[in-house]
Amino acid sequence: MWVSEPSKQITQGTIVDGVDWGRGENNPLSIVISNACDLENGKSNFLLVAALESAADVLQETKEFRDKVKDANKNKELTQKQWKSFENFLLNYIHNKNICRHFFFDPRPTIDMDCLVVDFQQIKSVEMDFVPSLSIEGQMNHPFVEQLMMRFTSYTSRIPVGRVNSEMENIYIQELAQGFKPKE
Amino acid sequence: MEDTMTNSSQNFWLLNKYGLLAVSLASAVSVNASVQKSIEGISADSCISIQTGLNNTVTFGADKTYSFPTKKNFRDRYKRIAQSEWFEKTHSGMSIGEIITIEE
Repeated sequence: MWVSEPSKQITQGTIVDGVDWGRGENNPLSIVISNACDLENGKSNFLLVAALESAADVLQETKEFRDKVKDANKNKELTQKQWKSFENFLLNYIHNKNICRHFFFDPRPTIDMDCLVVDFQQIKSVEMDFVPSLSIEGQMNHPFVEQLMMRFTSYTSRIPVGRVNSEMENIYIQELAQGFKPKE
Repeated sequence: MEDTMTNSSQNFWLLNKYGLLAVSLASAVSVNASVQKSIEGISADSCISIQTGLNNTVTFGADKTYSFPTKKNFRDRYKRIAQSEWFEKTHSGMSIGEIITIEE
């Protein structure tokens, strides 16, 4: 279970409602990503939060999802190979095996909502004076909080590295394949 | 029947579940009748009352009262979010970023 009933104290991984994301009545839930000891020792002037979005709604809009299902027929049927690829994509997403924009979790039964994702591109700093007005809805359990933070830092600090061209890739593949090759 | 129901945690959770469902669907101040009709296996003449608000109160018979917090339903809000122009602009056709697989 990813989320349990919250205590009265806000700490890293606390899920809160009431952060103003500038979307009026459509403000999403938020999760606290501030360092827990900063909050505990009163060293923070601001509370760092990330927005939570509906996993199914967000994922189906992504380029990656659309690429996986673009060859489906009108009944949304995929070939076995296509389905396997799609299923693997979803499994990696569910288990947060990838470093990407989202961190997947299921807030049920603590929060009455389907699966959610933490959106690492929607980050907000909330003044501590405003924090008492937030309503605490849940607490992400350990070690999922640590996994979330690891994915967050990896996502924000990843370094773009140029890839070798396809010609060089083939040379390296030959060198490492030890004579194994696809059947003619 | 009343004693069995009062002491049965299974029935309590069943009531809890259906009670919450009825409360969230109807947003009614009093849903006595619908709850009584919708719960299988619970006597219709047993005394059940549910109130909305910050806490729900469920009464079994005359002497047993349970309180449990009302859960907010976020589904409607997220449905509105998914249908908003902002959502379309922000997420439609966007990449989830470079996928770096981690083996654990």
